[in-house]
Amino acid sequence: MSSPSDNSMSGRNDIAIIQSCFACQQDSAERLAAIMVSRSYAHRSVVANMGDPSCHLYLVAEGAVVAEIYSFDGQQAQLTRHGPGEIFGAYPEVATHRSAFAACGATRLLAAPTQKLADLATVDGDVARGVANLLARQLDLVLDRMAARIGLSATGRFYRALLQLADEDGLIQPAPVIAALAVSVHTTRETASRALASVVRRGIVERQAEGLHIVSRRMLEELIV
Amino acid sequence: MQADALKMILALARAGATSRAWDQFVAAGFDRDEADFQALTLKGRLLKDRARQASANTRPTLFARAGDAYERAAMFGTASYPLVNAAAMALQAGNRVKAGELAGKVLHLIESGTEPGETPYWGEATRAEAMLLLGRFDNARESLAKAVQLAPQAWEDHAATLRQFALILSEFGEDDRWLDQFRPPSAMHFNGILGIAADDEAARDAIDMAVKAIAPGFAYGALAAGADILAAEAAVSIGAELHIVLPSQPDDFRQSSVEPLGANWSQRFDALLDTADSITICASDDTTSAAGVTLAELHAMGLAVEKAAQLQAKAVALRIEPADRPAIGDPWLHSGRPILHVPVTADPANSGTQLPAGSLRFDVALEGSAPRSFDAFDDAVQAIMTSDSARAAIDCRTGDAVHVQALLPHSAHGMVAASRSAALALLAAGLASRIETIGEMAFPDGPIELCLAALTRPSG
Repeated sequence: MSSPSDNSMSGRNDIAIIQSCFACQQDSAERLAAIMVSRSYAHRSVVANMGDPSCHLYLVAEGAVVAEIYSFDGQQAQLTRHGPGEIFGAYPEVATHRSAFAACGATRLLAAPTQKLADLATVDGDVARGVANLLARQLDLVLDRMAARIGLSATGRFYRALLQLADEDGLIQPAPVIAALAVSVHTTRETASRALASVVRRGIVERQAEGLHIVSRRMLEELIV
Repeated sequence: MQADALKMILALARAGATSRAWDQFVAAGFDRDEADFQALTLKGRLLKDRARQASANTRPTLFARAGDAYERAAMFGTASYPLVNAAAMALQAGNRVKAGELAGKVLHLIESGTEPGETPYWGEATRAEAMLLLGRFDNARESLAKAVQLAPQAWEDHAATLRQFALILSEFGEDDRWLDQFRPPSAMHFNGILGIAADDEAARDAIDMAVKAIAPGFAYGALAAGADILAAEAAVSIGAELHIVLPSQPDDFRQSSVEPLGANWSQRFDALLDTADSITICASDDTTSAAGVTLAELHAMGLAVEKAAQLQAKAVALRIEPADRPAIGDPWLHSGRPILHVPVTADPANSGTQLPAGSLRFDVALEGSAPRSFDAFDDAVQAIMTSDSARAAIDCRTGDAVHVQALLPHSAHGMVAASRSAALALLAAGLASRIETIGEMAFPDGPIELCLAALTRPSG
């Protein structure tokens, strides 16, 4: 097992990811960043073993994590898969991992110690609301998986998020951090960057010094599938 | 809610399910909506599609009705886009006078600055189309050249314009060969043998020459040491977008299909990964398997065909293999699309390691019966073709989880619900005329992008 590399979080990207996923103000995102660490995992490396103490809430920033269970006869079965923007782990109290977790592809997790996150949520309403939103969204995802419901494609979700960020004149200022926007719509930075490049190439969206300008709202709406 | 329903109907129309899309449009009552821009423009689009499939007797009436819908839409939104369509419909309905009047209105809207166009490209391209409809062919050509200059890489938009221009020129009985200068570049799928010596200059030169002859704007394939890497390097050197499709995570693939071949292949693999415009990992295996390689090849071929279809461009395959060892099972052969062969000499000391077989399954679900699983893709497609089920779904997988039954309710009459992997495989083998993404389905082992595919029956 390769050990994950822990890094403190100070980069604009990580704070933007937190702000985007928790849907909170900048100062709350900075308080969250102060208690969280970024952990990077190589493909197939172990994030946690089944039965290990679970004392973090993890947010998937890049890559994916698969949850696997082992039966008494040693058979392995995949329980679920958490992609960008999804959470797993323990909250509001420390617990025990009910499955093993392994990285799928190069993966980066933002880890918040359960107790510290719960403490922060009791004093910061914005953080509490963000945690509630994340948990509710995770429940939705689980139900969607059980129902095999059809939703928007990854690029469709990204384009919808762009439209939601734009003002009446189609301006998005300041420019969104694409990595953060990607995570908040459960896709990868690469997919989001390609989706943005595609509409810029066609002149549907224009990059400006101050941000982005949606030149044709109708054409962007047509791409939301 | 209305926007979602309209979008679903548009997806059906784009996938080629013209009748089904129209039936749903009417059933939802959108055909009676005379004041909604989106409903009216979609009505115009659907009637236009129906007209193209109709008999000579009914075609002019349907084109005229399509034109009426577009003309009315112009009252409720951006006018130049529906009006220029209304003008083209009038021309196809045989009413040149009305076509000219409407085209004149479009020109006025653009030149007065009232409507500069939805994007810079579309502003100038719409002006060009209006001039074409007015019979001002030289002005149209000049204006189209300006439009392309404004957005030289808006390939999808260029393709839509060229399709429309060809129809209009045909109505006027004019030569359309001048449009060729604006056609987007071709899409290339490449693959070949691993065992080419890293310093085989003759192989490298032959591959370079073949890639230059194809002149792709977009190249799709894997990156195994040998032919793949040489083809990818050649494509990048002439400025093509490189889209890599791997059967496993890059680290796994490097270990199985690059490092064992020695030399400096690993550095070249990494350099190409850094250069690539996209990297798709399409199998769920933990390690690289032969089954995963087959799936990745189908996926990459399908992407090349899809891109070419979107851009009205050519899809060409590049095959790099010893002259006495052609790839008999190559799905591209069935499709009848062009293949360029580059004969090379295999390096006997360097043929790579044997991959584990893995398992590639093609699952089919039909209404009223249990899902079936096939080893061979052709057998799976045959099961759909020979059934009389109103609904059908297809998926392909290298893992254990079977999802095909969950796809089935999203099938439409005459259209197969397919995971994106299966839809791309259908395109690759020439078994689907087009595919259209309609959304994403969430499953415990990850999301599946869902497509509708219009199957084509192989000739003979």
